[in-house]
Amino acid sequence: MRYAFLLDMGKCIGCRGCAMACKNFYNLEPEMVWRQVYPLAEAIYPHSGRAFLSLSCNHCEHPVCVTACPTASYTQRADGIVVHNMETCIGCQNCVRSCPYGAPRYSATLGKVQKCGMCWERLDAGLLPSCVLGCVTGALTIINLDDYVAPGIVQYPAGYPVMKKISPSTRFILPKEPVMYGVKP
Amino acid sequence: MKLNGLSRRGFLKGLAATGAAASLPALFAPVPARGAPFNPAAYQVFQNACPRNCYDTCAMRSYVQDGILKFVEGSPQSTFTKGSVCVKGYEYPRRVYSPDRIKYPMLQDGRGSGNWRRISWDEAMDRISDKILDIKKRDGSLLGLGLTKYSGNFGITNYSVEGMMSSLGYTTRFVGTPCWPAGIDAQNYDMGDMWCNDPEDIVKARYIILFGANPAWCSMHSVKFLYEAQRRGARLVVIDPLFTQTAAKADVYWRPKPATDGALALGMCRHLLDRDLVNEDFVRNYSHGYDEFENYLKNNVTVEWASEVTGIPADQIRQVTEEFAASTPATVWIGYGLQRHTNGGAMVRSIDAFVAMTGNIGLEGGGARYGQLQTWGFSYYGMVQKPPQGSVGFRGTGGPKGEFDFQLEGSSEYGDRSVNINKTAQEILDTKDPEIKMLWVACKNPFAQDFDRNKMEKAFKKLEMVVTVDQFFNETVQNSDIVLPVTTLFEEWTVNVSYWHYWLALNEQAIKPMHEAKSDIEIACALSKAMNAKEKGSCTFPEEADVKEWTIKEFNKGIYDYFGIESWEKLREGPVKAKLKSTAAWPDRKFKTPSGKYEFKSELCEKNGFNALPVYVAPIEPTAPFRLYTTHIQFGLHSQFVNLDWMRPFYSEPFVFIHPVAAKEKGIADGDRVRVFNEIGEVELKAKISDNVARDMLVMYEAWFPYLKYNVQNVVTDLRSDMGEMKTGAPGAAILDQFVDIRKVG
Amino acid sequence: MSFEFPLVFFTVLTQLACGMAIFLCWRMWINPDSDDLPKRRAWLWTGGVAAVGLIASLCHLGQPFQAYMALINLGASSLSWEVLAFSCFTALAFLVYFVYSRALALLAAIIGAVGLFTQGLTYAPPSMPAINNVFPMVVFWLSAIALGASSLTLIRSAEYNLAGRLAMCALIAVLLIAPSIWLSGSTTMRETGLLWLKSGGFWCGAVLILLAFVATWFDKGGKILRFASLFCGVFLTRMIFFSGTVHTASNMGLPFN
Repeated sequence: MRYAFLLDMGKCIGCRGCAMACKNFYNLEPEMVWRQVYPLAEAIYPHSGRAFLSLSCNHCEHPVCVTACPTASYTQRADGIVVHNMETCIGCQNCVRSCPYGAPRYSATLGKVQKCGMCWERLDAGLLPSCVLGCVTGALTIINLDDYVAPGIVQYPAGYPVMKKISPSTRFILPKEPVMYGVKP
Repeated sequence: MKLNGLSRRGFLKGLAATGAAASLPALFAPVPARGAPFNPAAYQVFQNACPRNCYDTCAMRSYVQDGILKFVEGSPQSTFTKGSVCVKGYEYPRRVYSPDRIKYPMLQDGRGSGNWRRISWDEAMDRISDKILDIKKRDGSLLGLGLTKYSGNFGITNYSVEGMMSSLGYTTRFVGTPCWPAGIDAQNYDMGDMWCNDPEDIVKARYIILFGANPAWCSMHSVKFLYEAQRRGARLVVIDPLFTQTAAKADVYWRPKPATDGALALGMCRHLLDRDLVNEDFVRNYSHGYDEFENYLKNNVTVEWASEVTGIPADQIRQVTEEFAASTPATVWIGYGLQRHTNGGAMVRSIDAFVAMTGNIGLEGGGARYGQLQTWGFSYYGMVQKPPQGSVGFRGTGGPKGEFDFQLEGSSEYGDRSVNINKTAQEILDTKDPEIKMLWVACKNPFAQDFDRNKMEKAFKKLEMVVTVDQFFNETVQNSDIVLPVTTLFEEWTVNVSYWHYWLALNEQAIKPMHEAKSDIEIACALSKAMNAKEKGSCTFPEEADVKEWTIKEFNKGIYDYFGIESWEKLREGPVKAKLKSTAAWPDRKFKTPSGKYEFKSELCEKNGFNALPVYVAPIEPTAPFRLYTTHIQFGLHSQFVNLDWMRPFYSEPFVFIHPVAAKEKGIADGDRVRVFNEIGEVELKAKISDNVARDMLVMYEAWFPYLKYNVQNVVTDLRSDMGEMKTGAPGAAILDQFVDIRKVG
Repeated sequence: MSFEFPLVFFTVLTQLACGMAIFLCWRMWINPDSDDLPKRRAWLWTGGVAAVGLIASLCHLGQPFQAYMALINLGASSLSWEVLAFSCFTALAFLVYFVYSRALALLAAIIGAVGLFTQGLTYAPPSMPAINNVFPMVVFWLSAIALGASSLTLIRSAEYNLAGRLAMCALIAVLLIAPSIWLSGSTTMRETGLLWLKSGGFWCGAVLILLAFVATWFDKGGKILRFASLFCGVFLTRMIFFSGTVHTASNMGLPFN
């Protein structure tokens, strides 16, 4: 069993419902965001602000944060979820520097780093992660990488850094575009 | 990562092998992460419902611990809400506990001065009741007291505010709706009522056209049904002058010239004729006046003409028409933006006609969807109050006081005076005999949502007292004398339904009201007490009320039968869906028109000053180089939600969107500070370049940013739309027929 | 743009201290009986500089009083090793001052070298493509040698040693060549290169190092000025290293090729 987020960018409407559902469940500080929704640049999707990458933590196969953290505050569960231990964190932010995907976030008020833990507390209780439950269109789901097979799934969509050694677990379905009429360029 | 043939891991392993690591004391050993799974049983869970003006009206659950709201969820039992609210709904915990929330009644020494001071509820009621009695003494009536209320809170028990006004006497009411009146009238002319299919049945559609609707931002929960329809093979066509978020999900996107959708629909009707694709069964057996309409089409409409007017290629119009006609069921969703034009009602009639001609009205998965009020059959217990003995009011024929006015007019010689909510500022300025001296504002933010802000400022200066009931210091509150803090949905009992889906949700009180907040009912009780202490019998509203009991009183046999429940208590387990015999509206095609049929030709429409047939009405001519759309954004619901600090990481400042070619002509670069202006005012903000808008259009999304000076109403006039007066008491607002110019600043 | 001053001070000062230790140790071993041998007080300075650097690094932490916990993940984290190495180094440097043995000095120098090595690993994360390579390692080592050699001239007036001159020259070369190479790399690398080359601080720093390098041929006075020029040059270029190196997370949604 290896949990991973699956983001269907064809269904994602960039509403930030996933991000806000997370803030809601964990009562995050106003400026703190564990899940970011990045609009795709026009060079990638030709309509500005109409396709998105919703990313929290990629719970990578070889997580950089686990090796970077001097206090061993990151552990990877058998199901792939990378969990951050707030108690032992000393806020050195080496993980923030090292994670290519910007998953760990530093809180100046707490003096510690925080990050998405795939709602492991909810998964262990048989519930979906907050962001997955919060996704209004069903674009964001979780899959078991060990047995999930579907056509058109990619690991590295455009707009997302390729890090083969780290191997992020998140998977994507790419967005589509409509045929347009009446548009003067 | 390798250095000189030695990998980092290899190096570290080597060091470890020297025993360096092993010799460290246990103090420095890694601590494994431990934690217990989430335990829902540790919380009290309440049923709630989002009372905002939104298609989706989410059934919600709130999780409370030690009397504190911890987080919210969408109700899993509702197949419409399906466990998730939206980006706005998830802000609710922050809204309840926002540091900006108004805590107690406050008085502004000098309106607009910012010199607010705390007063007690008693003092607030004292001042208000003194003023009301003063007006009554001077005018001999309470027509000088006005109420403006709309959709800030659609909880059914909030109609007690109207009841409060009635219980004082005959007052002036701002009637009508800025939202959807032209379309309501149009659908009433065509079918006798506004009644849409169950939105969940859109999955059955084989062809879907969205005309000026943007569910990706305005009805997010509907989007999954659109996706499911597409998954099952349906084709989705989005027609919108803007390339909206919904347009990006369509199979086909049409960008017509704004306000020409009527011509598009008529062109499509003509093509049905040309290709013999008209549904004979429907037009022959269930419609009235079809022959006249067919004649009109033959003599006035061609596909080429439609293409010329709208900018959509003729062969595309033909293709989509043929595909629509060949798919059964096929459906059209008419958005509210579509009818916010001077020809809005006429356009809706033309679109309805197209759906009717293809025989899709009355089919599950079909229909011309707009909205419904089928689920709103409550008792409106709080709304029905008798005016005090001897009250004097307005003499004359009154119309409905808005689309939610389900009460029949009483048989008194007097009534309330109605003025047009869509011309609030003008009405305050013009109304005489008596003038409007005092304004009670509830569930509304006139400065944010009514038109021509500069005129509104002038109008407010005329008012002697403004009382606003609200939660935050928005612009209307800033221009008030007294603000009364009101409860959020978690702090009161009420019941909610939607004007789109068919679910009923109870709203239980989850936590104690914050600080000194009171619900609208409790405020009315307090006012009644203060009034009667000064002048016995001057207010018939009860002086005490149990809000939970009043909520229960809203339920009646009609509601129980419609939703198939025996008691409101069932709703404590979760929301309930109406027991629909069919998911279609008009399944038996027995329309509520005078003829009992679908009226291509509506004599009633003609009587009210329009054309009997759904003819083409041209859009108005532009009065400035750019047409301005001030549409909604998904981060806010009008002036709510964007103001909370949780939203700031996602949406912290507004932009005006301009096409690259237009920007180049104006010398505007991405991110430049610009001024958007017309004859009534201006807005200063940053520009963003995007070809999601047409070359001659600008878009500014309406929202309230508490720390920014931004209000789109500075440049939006109170131009009226064609229809709306029949069913809602006043014509609508042509919010999308606004014209501006733009200039770089500095 | 966060300048990350704690990390700038930490890396520059520890590199200076390591450089000092290496050269002091070298002098103790190569020519122990020479009469211009640096005094043992130099080790006090070495320890002091390293200590200040360590204290500066504490300012970077969210929980400075729990800094000792940074020693936990020696199994995987190069940062843990860095903390261990520099803590030991600082202690050793002070110890050499008190005990003044050649063996201890050698140990201090070796531990310092280990520290430099771990620094080269720690500050080259995969999230910063421009520096996810030997660049940090090379820059840190060259800085240590250059600073160490230059600091020696403050203690006694001798001509500059070759190692110091070479290190300074190489440092300027590396600092100028790398950003130019980045300009033809991936998007993030290109952005990094542009930021560096557009930075006034970067050019000032490079010029200061160059001046210090040229000044090594001029013996007369101003040795403090020469050292200060080199130190400020390294400091300024270190500032751009930490603030102007683009992180892939800031380019999400943009093309990465």
